[in-house]
Amino acid sequence: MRILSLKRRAAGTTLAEVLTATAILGAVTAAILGAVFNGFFIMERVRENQRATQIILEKVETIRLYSWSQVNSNGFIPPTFTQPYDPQAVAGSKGITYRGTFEISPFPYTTSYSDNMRQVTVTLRWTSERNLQRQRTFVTYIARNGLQNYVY
Amino acid sequence: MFIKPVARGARGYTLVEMTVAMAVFSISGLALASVFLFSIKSFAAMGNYAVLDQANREAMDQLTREIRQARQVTSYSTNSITIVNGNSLAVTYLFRPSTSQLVRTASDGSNKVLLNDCKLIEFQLFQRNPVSGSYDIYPVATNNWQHTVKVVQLSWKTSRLINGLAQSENVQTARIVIRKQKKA
Repeated sequence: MRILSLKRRAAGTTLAEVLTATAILGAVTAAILGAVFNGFFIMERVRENQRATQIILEKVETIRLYSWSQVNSNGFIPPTFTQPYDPQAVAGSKGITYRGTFEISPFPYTTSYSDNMRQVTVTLRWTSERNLQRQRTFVTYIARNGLQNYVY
Repeated sequence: MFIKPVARGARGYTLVEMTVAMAVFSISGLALASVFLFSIKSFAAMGNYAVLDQANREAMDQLTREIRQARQVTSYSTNSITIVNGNSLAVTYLFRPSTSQLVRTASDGSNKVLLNDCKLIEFQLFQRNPVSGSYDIYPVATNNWQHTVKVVQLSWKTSRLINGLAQSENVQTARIVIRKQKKA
């Protein structure tokens, strides 16, 4: 092995080399930061989904409390509602607002008992960051005479 | 192997060169260090959110399942509720502000911490009649209220600080209809 002396022209690195190295370093750093920000973005969407599921379930859970005439009376169950992400927070920091609709429609299948059933659709819409329009829907049925004899 | 002597013109760096090099290295080093620290904080925060979300969901699932099948609510306050569950055990869910825990105790002697890092919890009870034109339900009667409870509404908030790096919060609300509670 021979170690040659550094000639003057070869000492240090050239400007082109430094620029290339800097560009590579910059690209790698930008990629890492991008990945981190994307992780946060996805985590936030997951949290919004979790909260949306809670809100929809709250609405669906209480359907069984309504009598058949209340279900069919126009306006007894309001057709729209809003819910904040964090209802316990002080005004101004409640987070995103979920806009919901509660729709009661005829049973969508032709059967002998279709007059005794209704379809319930709860839809939730909200706007995430980057102006992303998002929506979740829950569809269920309600029967006039209930399903089980232990349901009061 | 032989080493040639260093040529006269190529030896060492001047003070100016050295200073500039050190300045450039310091600035890029600081930038890299801040990116590194930011990444560590971010990963900690994301992990923290995931852990908190999972713990909250599990606690909510267990509590919801048991209250749905309850035979009766026997006592309650804003931060505790006692029910007779589907197996006829007396079960109490109690929020302890001093330890920030939600604890489940049952009359069979079992004792379990359902949730840690709890900052706020609230139970509310309602009867079975919904209010027209809103999603509200009438609150329980004052007299003989145990026989009128049909709906348990609860909300809580957990927040967790991990290694002084990242503070994460989680909000849970639920409205649970007791299936077996008969009409009064």
